Amino acid sequence: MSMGRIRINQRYCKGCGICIEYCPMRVFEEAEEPNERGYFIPVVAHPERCTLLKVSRHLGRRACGLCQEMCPDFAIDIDVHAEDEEE
Amino acid sequence: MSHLTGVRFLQGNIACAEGAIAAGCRFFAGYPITPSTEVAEWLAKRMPEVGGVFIQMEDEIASVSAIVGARWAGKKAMTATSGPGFSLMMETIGYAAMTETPIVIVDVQRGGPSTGQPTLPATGDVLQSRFGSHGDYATISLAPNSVQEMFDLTVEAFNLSERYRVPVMLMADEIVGHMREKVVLPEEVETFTAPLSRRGVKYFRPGRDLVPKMQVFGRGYGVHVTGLTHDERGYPATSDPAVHTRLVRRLVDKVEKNAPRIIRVEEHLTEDAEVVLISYGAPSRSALAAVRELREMGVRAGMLRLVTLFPFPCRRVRELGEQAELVVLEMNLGQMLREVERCAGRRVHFLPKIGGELHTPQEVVRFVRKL
Amino acid sequence: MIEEEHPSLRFLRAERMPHILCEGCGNGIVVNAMLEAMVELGVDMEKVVFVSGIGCSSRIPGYLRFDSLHTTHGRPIAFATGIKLANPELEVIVITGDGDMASIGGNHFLHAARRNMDLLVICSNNYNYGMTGGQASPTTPLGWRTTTSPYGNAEPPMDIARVASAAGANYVARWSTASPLQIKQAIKKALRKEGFRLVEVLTQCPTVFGRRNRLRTAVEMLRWYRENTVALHHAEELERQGVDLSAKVVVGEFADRSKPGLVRRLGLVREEVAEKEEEAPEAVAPAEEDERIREARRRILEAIERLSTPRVRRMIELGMDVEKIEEELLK
Repeated sequence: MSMGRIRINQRYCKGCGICIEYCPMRVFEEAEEPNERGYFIPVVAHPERCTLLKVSRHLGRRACGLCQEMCPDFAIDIDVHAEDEEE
Repeated sequence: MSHLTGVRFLQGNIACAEGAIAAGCRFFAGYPITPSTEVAEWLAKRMPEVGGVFIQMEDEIASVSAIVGARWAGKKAMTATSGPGFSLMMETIGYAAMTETPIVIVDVQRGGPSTGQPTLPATGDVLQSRFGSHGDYATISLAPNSVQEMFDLTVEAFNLSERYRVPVMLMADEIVGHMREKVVLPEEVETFTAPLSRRGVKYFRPGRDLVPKMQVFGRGYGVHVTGLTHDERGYPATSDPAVHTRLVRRLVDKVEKNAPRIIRVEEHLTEDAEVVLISYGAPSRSALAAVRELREMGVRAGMLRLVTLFPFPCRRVRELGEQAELVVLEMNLGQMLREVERCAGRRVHFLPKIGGELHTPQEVVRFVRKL
Repeated sequence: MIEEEHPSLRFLRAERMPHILCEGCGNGIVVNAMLEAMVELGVDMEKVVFVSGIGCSSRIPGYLRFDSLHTTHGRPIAFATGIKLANPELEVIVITGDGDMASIGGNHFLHAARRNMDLLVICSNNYNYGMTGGQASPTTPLGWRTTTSPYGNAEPPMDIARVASAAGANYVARWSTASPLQIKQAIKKALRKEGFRLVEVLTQCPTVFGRRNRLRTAVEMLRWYRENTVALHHAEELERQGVDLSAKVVVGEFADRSKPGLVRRLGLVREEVAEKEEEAPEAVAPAEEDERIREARRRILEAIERLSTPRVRRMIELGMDVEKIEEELLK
């Protein structure tokens, strides 16, 4: 059964860190190393804690999504139905 | 319901307003300023009658901005003002040129500079009509000299603005705006409207005539219109010298290269003239009277009247300069004079008159005879 | 393979992304709230027109897939007035900023509110002129530092929301980006009303403003907003108790009226549509191809839109042309 997937768009994200601060379940963590553009792109450390992924399917509509609402660069993609792949 | 028709006795400003209606103008935004206010007052009454919209805005900047917005929403639009308001509108005129928005601006010129002589005529804003905004662009300016032309040239102004997608200025003056004359308002008036493009194409890609097709908001175009330097999709491309050059060059060429189709002049007795009076607007009437008087005195005088001030009839002026002495008459201290000098390539005589009084035919005759 | 992307992306011009706004800029949050509000209300996107002036927030419409007019500094409200009066069926939304609207645009702001002109104005108030490097604006708080107030701003700021309310606007609300849900609700409420509706959003500008005032990051600024904004009803209660709120910012709904908007007062509401449609051929020429072709083209564009997946969008961003994209899809 697919868990769904959270992905941070490496091209759009500018490493502001708002998602790390705002996620109530602390899904995101700050990166150790910057990317080649100098941005510290957050790491999706704990997707299994994500309320949207856990609840939306049962609720019939999107739950939470606070990270996406707060992301100024529209850089967080969350697919409830995606196969849980290795990054 | 449409414009007034038939033979009437009207004030110039009113004829102008009816000309706008005849041309299909259905939006007017303006601000009161002498001696143009009658245009606004008349259209405040007439616009709702013809299914159009009138609004008095809080200042001239708002007025000219509102008419740009109205044109993008699909309504032909006009505003009217005088010197001080004209100066305020300059930034937005540049915006209209950059975004290729067809609009008509009527400037009923009065004594300047600054507050100057609100109730007296002048033709001191003519260079400003072409060069008043910052940067490079091109506009078209027309100079009516009768109440009939206040009607006819307003229609022409709309058609030109739609044809070339540029702001067109109707450079009237207090005399032509406030005088009353017989005018014939035809039932049928030829109008032109900028053709619309298809959806999903490059909206600012020009046709062979250098003019792109138009769009209207609310019809699924998804068009982005900006005053920033933009590419053919309409997207900002400010850091690209090639894109900027191509765009701005085209904005100028659009009018300059199409000039032969735009330029209008009126000539009297120039074929064998040894002296040609060059004039426009109200003073051109004195010039014509002077030409007739001079002919009776045996002087081979002729007149070139500028109906379009810009684009300027450079070639014709050069031709006339090769044949005759040139005398420029205007109600300013030398504006169209510069264009005449530039094109004539020889010494040009100048009879300016400021202070709010029209040149009299007698003083023109005296001046020419002294040459 | 991720198919479900960020909800705002389908309204963005992929070929222009990523946008020029700084990391952590509050404007992106306003966009998210606004688009969500529009989707939830089922707004007819083809009838929406964005009008903006000059500034960071004014750049937003250039990234959105709607009709938009990016105008001169301070004047979007004047342009928007012309658009709305010329075609009252359009949903005209003005995107502006504190400097653009309340400084150079003050006159147009005041009179549009006075007229109760039917416009939705979303004013992104970041307390400074961000685009030009961080100069003081009419909303810079007293004592705060900017590049043109290096010794601390000596001018009392304007309370944009209260000025709009006093001038007669039908709806005025102010929230900060720390409460995106309230921004969305305010925009939803505003979209359902007529007349002049202002949603002022306090947005963070860490790069050129926050940084000069010891709030170096977006997170720090958002924390400041959370801790220093007080809801209006709460503020009234606290003031009654004698609490000093001079250092706080009051947020909430400042006006919620149902007076007629200018469109209604001018008799331009929907009932007049029949007359306007007759006018339209005179004012604007019809497209030159025939109706069937136009309809077919419209269906094709719609299909492309529906089939357009994030993968296709990525390929567009990379500048691939139609043939190459087709090739890729067929692999």
